[in-house]
Amino acid sequence: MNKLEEFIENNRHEIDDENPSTKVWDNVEAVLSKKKEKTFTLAPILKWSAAAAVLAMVALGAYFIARKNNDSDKIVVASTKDTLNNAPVPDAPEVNQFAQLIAMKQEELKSLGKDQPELYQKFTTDITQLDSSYRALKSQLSITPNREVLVEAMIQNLQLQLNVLNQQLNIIHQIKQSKNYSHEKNDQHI
Amino acid sequence: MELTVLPQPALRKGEDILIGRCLRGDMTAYRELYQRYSKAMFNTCLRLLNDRTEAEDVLQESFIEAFKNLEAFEYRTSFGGWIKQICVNRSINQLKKRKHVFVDIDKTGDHDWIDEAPIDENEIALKVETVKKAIMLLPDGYRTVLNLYLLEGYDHEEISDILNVAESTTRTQYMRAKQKLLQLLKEGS
Repeated sequence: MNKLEEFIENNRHEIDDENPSTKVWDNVEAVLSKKKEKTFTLAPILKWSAAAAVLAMVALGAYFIARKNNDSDKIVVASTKDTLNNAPVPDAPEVNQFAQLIAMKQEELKSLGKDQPELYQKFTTDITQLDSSYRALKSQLSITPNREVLVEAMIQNLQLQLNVLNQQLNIIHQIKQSKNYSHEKNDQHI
Repeated sequence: MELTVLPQPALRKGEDILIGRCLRGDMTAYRELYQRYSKAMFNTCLRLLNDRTEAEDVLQESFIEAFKNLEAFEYRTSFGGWIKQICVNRSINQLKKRKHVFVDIDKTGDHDWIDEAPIDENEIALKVETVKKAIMLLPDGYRTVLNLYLLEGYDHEEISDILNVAESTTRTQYMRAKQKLLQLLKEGS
């Protein structure tokens, strides 16, 4: 190594003896804290919105699963006798009476509907819709401060279900009669 | 030569922790990192630019750039090597703004210096103060190459990359710069 290179290496610390002004760090720090503020105000918002998004997805998923389960329940409700619909509601004899009546009508519809599976399917979906509203009302029953109003709404719903069922039964009866009639006609022709 | 810039493995580990703290937004860690390197980097900038205000501006912008991109740094090299690279590149760009252009030596017809008798460096008594002053008297082109090679410890290949000239150019330029420096020292003593 040459003399000059050696000299520089041996005296490095003495050579690097200049100090920058303190305002350099002050400016660097000012820029950094600006950047810090930005990221630090943004970060919690992002965190919370991420959490909210996850929660929303879970809730949505749970809702669809519950709805799917409910739907299959409701088909059972509409087609079989033993349902939540029929579970007695305390202190509301009217509701219970209606529920029993509906169960009977449903049973009747079921036996008559055997000949008309397509029609029966349509009728069941109508009733299922009404029934889901009824269930919603009933689930509120234990927590509502307005029990009377709710029971009345439930009764209205049941009345509506009953009306629909009656109409459905009428339709099925009419179809049967016309069928029988045409059969008789055919018989007469022969 | 680069002890201040390339830390030992133990120091590297401590520095990785320090950088980790910076990335978590710890302002004292930033300050520590700045204090560890700012003096050496300032001297590098000052030698290259020969202007205190410009050197401080470059130092400031270099640290801001390094701190803003700390996540991208990812411990590929030492922080010291990285910040030095930024400081040197920014200083060179600043020099170029002064309309100083690094030209390949072969394209210039200036070969007068060969006629001068080479100076024997052993004849000259070296003192830190006089060497520093003499370096600052060199024209920008000479001073840059001399600084990068002699004081910053880059080899000619690295210098040719930094200045974007042929390696042979930096070699010749360095020889010339050194002769000029020795001449100045001889005249001064």
